[in-house]
Amino acid sequence: MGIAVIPKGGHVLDKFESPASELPAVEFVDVSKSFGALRVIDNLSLRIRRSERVSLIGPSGSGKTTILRLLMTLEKPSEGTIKVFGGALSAGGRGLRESEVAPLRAKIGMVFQQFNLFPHMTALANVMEAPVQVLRMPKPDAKALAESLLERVGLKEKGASYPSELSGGQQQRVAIARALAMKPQIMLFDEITSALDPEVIGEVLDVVHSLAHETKMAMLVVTHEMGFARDIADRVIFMEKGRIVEEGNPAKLFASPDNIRTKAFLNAVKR
Amino acid sequence: MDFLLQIYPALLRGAFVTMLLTLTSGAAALAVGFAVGLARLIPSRWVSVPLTIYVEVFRNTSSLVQIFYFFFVLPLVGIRFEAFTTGCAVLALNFGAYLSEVVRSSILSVDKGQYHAAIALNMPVLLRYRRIIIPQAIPVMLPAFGNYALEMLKATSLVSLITITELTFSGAQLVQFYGHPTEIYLSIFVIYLILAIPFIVLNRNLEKRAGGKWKARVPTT
Repeated sequence: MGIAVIPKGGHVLDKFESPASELPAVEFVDVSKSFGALRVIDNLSLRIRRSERVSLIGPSGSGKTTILRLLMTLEKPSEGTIKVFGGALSAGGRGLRESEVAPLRAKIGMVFQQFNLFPHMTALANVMEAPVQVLRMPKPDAKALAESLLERVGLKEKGASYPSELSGGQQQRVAIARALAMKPQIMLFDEITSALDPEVIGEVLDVVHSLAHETKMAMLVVTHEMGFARDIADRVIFMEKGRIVEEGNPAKLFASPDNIRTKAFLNAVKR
Repeated sequence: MDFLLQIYPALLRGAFVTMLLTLTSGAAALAVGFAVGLARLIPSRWVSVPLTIYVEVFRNTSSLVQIFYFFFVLPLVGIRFEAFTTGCAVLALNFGAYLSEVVRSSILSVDKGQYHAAIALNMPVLLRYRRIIIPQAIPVMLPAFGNYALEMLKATSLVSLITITELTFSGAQLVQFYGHPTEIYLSIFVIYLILAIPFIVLNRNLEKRAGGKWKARVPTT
């Protein structure tokens, strides 16, 4: 895959042609997002293939997290179109009706910086909640699913614990299990280690790495852990001021970035 | 002592009416408070403006004037209810206005991340509130609810002025009939305290259960 240096206001659709038979998992077309006078996403276009793993890196305020939030419908774009597997999540700067959005949103899962577990439910109940309430899965099936997912994230014994009784790393692993319970085809990881103590970051990243090996989900990862960004991704995107500055193969981009701003950023975080 | 034995049946009847008023108006106020507090979260002016007017009118005018208005003015335009119904309705509307603010602010105090997590799990909006937001908001509401329950118990004395023979009014009648204001009002005083005990105990229990099971799990503000 080539390196695309994006001219001001330009976009990259032509760099990522996928066969017509295979719609991209995610497609942003000329998307902008403003909060008042602040333009957080600036006329950005982006395609993510099925099963592709993409890391988003860049300084704070560069719009990485906003991309995930737009995709999760936690924000509406001010302009542009966002599509998921060919279906429009928002178009022409407007959100669409809930009945149109819900089936698309069902394909997306998200893990948050602050975990956002439901504090009034046990770990097991957190994982069972959406399958039972949203998918109407029978409780015994949901329980079996939740138990297997907790086991998968290494928390088989913690099903009966409340989030307040778990460490940050454990809470985040429950949050991953909770998102997996909805069987998403696209997973969004929003700075999932930023709120964690250094000694538990590894256990969370290990879970994500194993997911990357064992599943075919597309993954969109926003992180400040540069080693993780490099190792998890098929493609790394460096953003600044709401635009894609440079993107490409992780080994290449981290070793010898083409853009001077990418270089400056990587030098700054290395220190 | 003989005198107290003579008057206590009348006071007991009064206490019973006071309790009945408190429970009836309290239940109605809770229903009004939840309905209005939740409805005010709907982002539509057609809903929020009338409800805001209702809340501010009932919070910012004298409860006594409200009772008089409903009892003496509404019949002039042909709307007539029994004194007990009127009393309950006004107390329910008055306290409902306060409780709706408790409900609304408690719901708004739930961390935004909880909404985001619920959306990310594709929960429809009603499910989000029913399963995630409201269960976390209720422990936040409980201390204020307990306070208003005690306020309600005392506020029922206001409806004595529209001929409802609750505890205060029966006392006043006894004083008119027998004299002895010191003994009678002291008895009323003690009876109010005794009536308050179940509310105090109930509230403490609820808070302990909510605070015990959910303490540290529910972000309180």
